[in-house]
Formats: sequence, structure tokens, C-alpha cells
Amino acid sequence: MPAALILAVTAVVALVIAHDYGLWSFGSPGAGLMPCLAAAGLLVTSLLALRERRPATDAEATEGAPATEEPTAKARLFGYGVGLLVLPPAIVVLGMLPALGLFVLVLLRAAERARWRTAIMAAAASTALSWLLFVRLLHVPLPGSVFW
Amino acid sequence: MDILNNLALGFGEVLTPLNLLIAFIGVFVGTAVGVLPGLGPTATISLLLPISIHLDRTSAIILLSGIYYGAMYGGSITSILIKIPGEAASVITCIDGYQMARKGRAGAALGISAIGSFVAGTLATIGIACVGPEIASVALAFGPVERAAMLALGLVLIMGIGEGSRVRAASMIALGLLLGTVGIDAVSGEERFVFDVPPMRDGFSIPVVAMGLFGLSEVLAMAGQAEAKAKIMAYGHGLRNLLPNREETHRSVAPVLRGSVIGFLLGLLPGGGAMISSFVSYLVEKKISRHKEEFGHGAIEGVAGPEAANNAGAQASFIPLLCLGIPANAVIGVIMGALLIQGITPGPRLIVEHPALFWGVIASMFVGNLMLVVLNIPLVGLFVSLLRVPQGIMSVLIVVFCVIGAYSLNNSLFDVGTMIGFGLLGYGLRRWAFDVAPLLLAFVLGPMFEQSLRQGLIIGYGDPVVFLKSPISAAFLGLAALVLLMPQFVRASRSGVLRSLLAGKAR
Repeated sequence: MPAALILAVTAVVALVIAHDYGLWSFGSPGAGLMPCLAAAGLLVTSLLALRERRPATDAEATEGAPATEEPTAKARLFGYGVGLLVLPPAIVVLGMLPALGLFVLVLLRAAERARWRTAIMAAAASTALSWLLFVRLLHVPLPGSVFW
Repeated sequence: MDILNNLALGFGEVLTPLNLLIAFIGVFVGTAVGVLPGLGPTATISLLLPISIHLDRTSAIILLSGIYYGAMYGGSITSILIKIPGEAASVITCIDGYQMARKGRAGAALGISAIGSFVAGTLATIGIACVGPEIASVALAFGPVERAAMLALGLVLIMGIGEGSRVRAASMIALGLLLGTVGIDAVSGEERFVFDVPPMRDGFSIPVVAMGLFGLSEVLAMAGQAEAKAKIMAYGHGLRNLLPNREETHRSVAPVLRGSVIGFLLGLLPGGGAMISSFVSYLVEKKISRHKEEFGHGAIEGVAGPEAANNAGAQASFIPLLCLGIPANAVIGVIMGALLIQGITPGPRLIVEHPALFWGVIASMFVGNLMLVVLNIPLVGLFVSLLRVPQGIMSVLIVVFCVIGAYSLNNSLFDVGTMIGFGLLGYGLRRWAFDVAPLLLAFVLGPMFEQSLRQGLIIGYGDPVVFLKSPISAAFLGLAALVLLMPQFVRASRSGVLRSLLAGKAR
């Protein structure tokens, strides 16, 4: 079961790192005490979870099959995943609002298969609303592009 | 009679056109702030501090406390509609409130949240007026030792929240505690798990983690569902579907009353008491409910109880400040700053030296709660109509607002990246049936628990027995042990292991 295994490995790594912070120093608890306790707890519980059979998630229980079996759903999920990973560098290059506008447009077209009109309108409206609310009203200094 | 006279003094102070307007502005701004992801009440109250200087003392506190109550309610709106907790105390509301929304009962959830908050707020106000100053001294009995024990009990209780097995929940609690240690250690100043990344020194911020684990992971979960593209979430039509029906109201009465008492008592305690009250209430309701199977799938008790507790706790947390000068949480700390700016030192002398201010704040709690209901019940229909936006468009818009919300916290792109990271982590964990609610709650409580634990150990010269010497602490730890071991004991007794063991011993 990959998730429990990854958690167990994370716990071991954290345990090793936290041990270096020191469990006890000058007669009082050190900086490493809490991380060590938490990592030890994570290790024990994730190993116990490894022995458990994975219960069905909500979606699986209601639909009777894993939620992401359908190919279009898989493609959509992949689109969102890639979109989220590309978003931070895109913000650096294009600036926050243009990058988010483009994110809305591309995701609605590519992942959600929305019509061009819907995608363009949603992108324009969300960008305008964000600008009005955060830049004009709340004076949040949203990052600009490296080019302009 | 004294109380009535004092309340009359307070209401005389509050029921002026200017103060009523200020209370309205306060709860309106607070609700708006609670709805927006990222911008919390602490930041907003800090931003409005300069404005409060131009108001008189009572008006200034009415404005700031109105923002606080409003944000508490506003946080519940996003929790119910899009599963993004506006602030930490709303995390619990996400569990059943969002499930209610998915079943077309968003209006009922929002309605019961507003009405429950009003009832709890009113009961808490009466409680504060009657016994608040007297029992405020209880807070003084809570040192680091007692606080650590209380938070340990809180962490044990979290295991009962959410879905999945207790082992998986314990795993998530441990992960939450571990994530809570990232950053500079407040005691020794040592960097922990920073890996030479400067923004990591401050650790992960709660709203960023909450938006990622709940909001973004839900977006990914929706994207992964078949036929999600044009799907519209079920929403109620007409007034009957927008407000709780007779059965829902009937089922909510007792949870609201219990939540009010729990919130009032725990809210008095400094160090996360108000926040803990929401999940203590949830667990109590889950334990005693006749509809246990509905919890996690849209039980109205799971919204009514925690929302009442959350609001009663928020109001009760003013008492340690006003009577003892102890801020119970960060928001109250900023309000304390506002009082100090106005030349008032909160503490035991406040009620004697500034009775009009003290009773004015108490009366403003009632007025503020009434305004919240008046403001929000008519808006329930508007909030619910947001669910008419097709799920695909809604998902993308949630990402947009989460990204800007995360950035606006510290004007940092690192927070945006962190939120996305937690979103992917949350989705992965959910795919493998690990519930993220215990993770988030442990992450919130972890730093408080660590600080109290270490302070307690320092007080006890490194001897952990110090936690058993204090009767309050021993009682909390005993209760924690009971909660932890009871299910095993019950299981063992049911399976006959215990009986055969005892029989063997008798022979």
C-alpha cells in the first residue's frame, strides 16, 4: 500500500533528521523532542496502516468503482495536476492576474471541454473580479511579470 | 438585579445610532473577510486598528469584535459551500456541512449555522453577564501543564473525527504534529526541517495548509469524478428548501444547546479553547446521536453543534481578556492591543474602572449576533445560488481564489507553491483513504501542544510526573487514556478475550 509506505519512509527520514536537533539539552527538552515523538508516532501508525486493507473512499462506495477509472476523468485530473504545477512558474513569468486568466482559459477549454465563449468569458470575469477585489479594494500587491 | 442594571448600562451604551451602524459594519466586514480565503480576522482587525483610534473606546471595541464574530460565521459559509474553511474553527463544519451541500441542503446547513450561532451567542452572552467575571479566575488555574494535558486530550479526541480507521487517523495526527514543527523552534531558536529555504523558517501557515488540504484536494477529487464537467451541485429551490425543515430544526435543538455550553466553558480557557470546543462538540454529538451513520455524510447535528460551540467559544474568549487581561488567542490579542491604544489596560480593574465599556462590549455581543442573523438569513439564497455555477467552472474559480488568497497572506509565491503542494498531498492521501481532517486539526494544535509540553517539562525540571501532580492535568490525561483505551476494552470484552482472561485468572 503506497501511501502508508511513503508515510513510513517519511517518518524514518524525519526521525533521523530530528534526532540531530537534540532530544534533551541543559536539563530541559530539546528542539528535537517533539519532531521525534511525532515521527515515531507516524512510523508506528503507518506500519500498522500497512497491515490494514484499504477501505473504499466515498466516491468508490457510491459508484462501485474507483473514482478515476473513466478515461475522460483521468485526463481531466491530469490536466488539473499539470495546470497546478505549471501555475507558479507562469505567475513569475506573466504576473499573477494574466497567469490566472490563462489558467482559467486553458483549463476550461482543455480539461473541462467548455466552449470558447464560456472559457473566454469566465477567464475575463475572474481576472476582472480578482483585480477589482484584491488590487483595487484590498490593495494586495499582486506580482507583476518579469517582462513588464 | 445588579446584572439587569449592568446590562441596561451596556445596552444604553450600544443602542445609539452610531454604535448600531458600527456593529453592522463590523459584522458585515467580518462576514466578507470570513468568506474570502486567506484573509483572516487577525489580519483584518490589525488593518483596521488605525481606524479604530478615531472612534471612542466602546465603538472601537464594538467594531473590532463585530469583525471577529462576523468572520467566525463567514468562515462557515465557504466551509459549507466549497469545503474551504475560512478559519481553523470552521474545519469541523467542512465535514458534514459540505456533505449537506452536496445533497442539496446547503441552505439548511447555512441556516442552522446562522441560527445556531445566534442562539449560542445569546446564551454565551447571558452566561458571561451572569457568571463570566466570577469563573474567569478558572482561566488562571490553567498553566502550561494543564494546557498541555488539555491539548493532549484534544489530540486523542481528533482520532474520532472524520472517516476511516483510528490507526489511519492516528497516522494523520502524527503527520500533522510533524508538519507543525517545521520552522524556527520558538524555545531554542533552532531551525527545524528548513533545508536552507528562507520562507520555511516561519513554518507553514494554517490557512495555506487548510486551503490546500481541503479546497484544492476537493477540486482534484471533483476533477477525477466521472461526468463532473457540466454537473451542477444540488441546490434548494424556494424558501422551504433554503431553510432547515421541521425535522432538521428538531434534531438541531439539543446539539445547539450542548454546543453552547461546551463552547462557553472551553472558550474561557486560554490557548485554543474556543477552537477545541468545535470538535469536542462534534465528537459529543457523534457519540450520542441516534443517527451515528449519518456523521461524515451530512448529519445536521455535525453542523449545528460545532457552529454553536465555535460562536459561544469566540464570545467567551473575551472574558479572560476583559477580566484577567489574558488574550485567549491571536485575534483577542489584537483587540487587546486596541484597548491599550485607547489607554485602557484590560484586567481585574476594568469592570470597576470602566463599567460602561465592559457592559457595553457584553451588550454589543447580543446586538452583533442579532445583526449576523438579520444580515445572513436573507443572504442564504444568494450564497446557495453560487452552487448553480457548473462544477467545472466552479473548480477553476476555487483554484483562482485559493491562489490569490494564499498569496495575499504574506505576499509570497512560496505560500502559493506550498498550498498547491498540500493540495496534491491531500488528494493523494484521500485516494488512499486517509482522512485529512485529523491532519489539519493536529497541525493547528501541534505548535500549542509542543510549547505547553516543553514549558510544563521545564517547570517540572524535566520530570514528566509534573503532568500527574496537577489535579486538572491528571483529570485531562485520565480522560485521554479512557478515550484511547475504551474502544479496545469494549472490543476485547465483546470478543470474550477479557472474559476468558478473567476466568483463567480466577482458576
